[in-house]
Amino acid sequence: MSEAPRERLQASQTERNSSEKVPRPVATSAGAAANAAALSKIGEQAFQRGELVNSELAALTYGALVRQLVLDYAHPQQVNEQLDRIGYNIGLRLVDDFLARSAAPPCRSFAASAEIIARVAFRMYLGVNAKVAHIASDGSEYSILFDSNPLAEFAELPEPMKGSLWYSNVICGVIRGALEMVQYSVQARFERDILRGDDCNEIRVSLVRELEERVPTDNEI
Amino acid sequence: MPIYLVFVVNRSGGLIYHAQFHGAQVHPLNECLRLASTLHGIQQISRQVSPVENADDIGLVGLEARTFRLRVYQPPTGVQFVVLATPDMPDEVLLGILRRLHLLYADYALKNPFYVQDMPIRCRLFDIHFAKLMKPHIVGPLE
Repeated sequence: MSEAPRERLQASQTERNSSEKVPRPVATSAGAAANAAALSKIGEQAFQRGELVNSELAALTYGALVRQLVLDYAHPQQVNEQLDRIGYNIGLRLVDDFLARSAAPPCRSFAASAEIIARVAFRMYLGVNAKVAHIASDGSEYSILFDSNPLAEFAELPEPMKGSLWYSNVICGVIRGALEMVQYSVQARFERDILRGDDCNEIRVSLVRELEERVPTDNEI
Repeated sequence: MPIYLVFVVNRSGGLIYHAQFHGAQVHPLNECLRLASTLHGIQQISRQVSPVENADDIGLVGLEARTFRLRVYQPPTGVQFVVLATPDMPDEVLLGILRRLHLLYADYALKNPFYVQDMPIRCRLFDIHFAKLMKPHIVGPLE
């Protein structure tokens, strides 16, 4: 399921039982595994609650979009950029939908956003299970790994594009846009893609800076 | 126990949606704009004077007076949903309404490709569903 068609379907929905209470997991390092399991459960519930769109339809629509971009732009690099831009604009708007629907606990730090994105958001919007890996020691970078990608279900990359096109780059854009709305300016990029022959999909998210507005504490005039 | 007034205030303090209902003093639009940006200012101040760092719900949450109760809901994206009601209205009900309003905002404003973020909400579907949401809680529409 890609975000765009799913959005439209959700928009047509009026009444929804959103009164379900989800226990808020406590984020302690000791309970990290339990936390991940709880988040997976939240993701699963959000996925079940949401209205679903046929994944083949979404995959084909997305494929047509990428194909058209490939025709319109000379270089696959530009196609990557366009996909990222499309995703960014989706992310800016989609984050409110996520916050309103997911019942996910609030992120207290950038590193905490990793599990939320992987366990809840990926499950909720793409229906796949993702996990977090390669967290940098200072918590400013992490990778999201996922095995199946519904967007690329039927795609094969032609030989000349294998080294340059990131087919599902729209997901990177969505992550970038969504995190920017909650005050984290990040870079997101694909590191590995099954379409290119890698063994799994990997998205690397790195923090550029926090956007929190702060008034200077000293009296500078 | 009716609701008097509903505001949606954007990240920079601009009023993007407002509705006033029967039973309250009517404010002209300019005054609404001023009230919304004042509220936004108070919200920012209350966040800065908060003695607790990095807690979940810092900032202004509500205001209680003898004649009204004001409830604010602010998701992490910074947009504020504000409702003004009679004091006998339970807090959970008001929060529930504001959460539903957030859902409507996500569904019918943000997902509308012709809606520009942070601009006044002029979406017919949003109006329709907003009216549905408010119906059980108001005496009668004013505008």
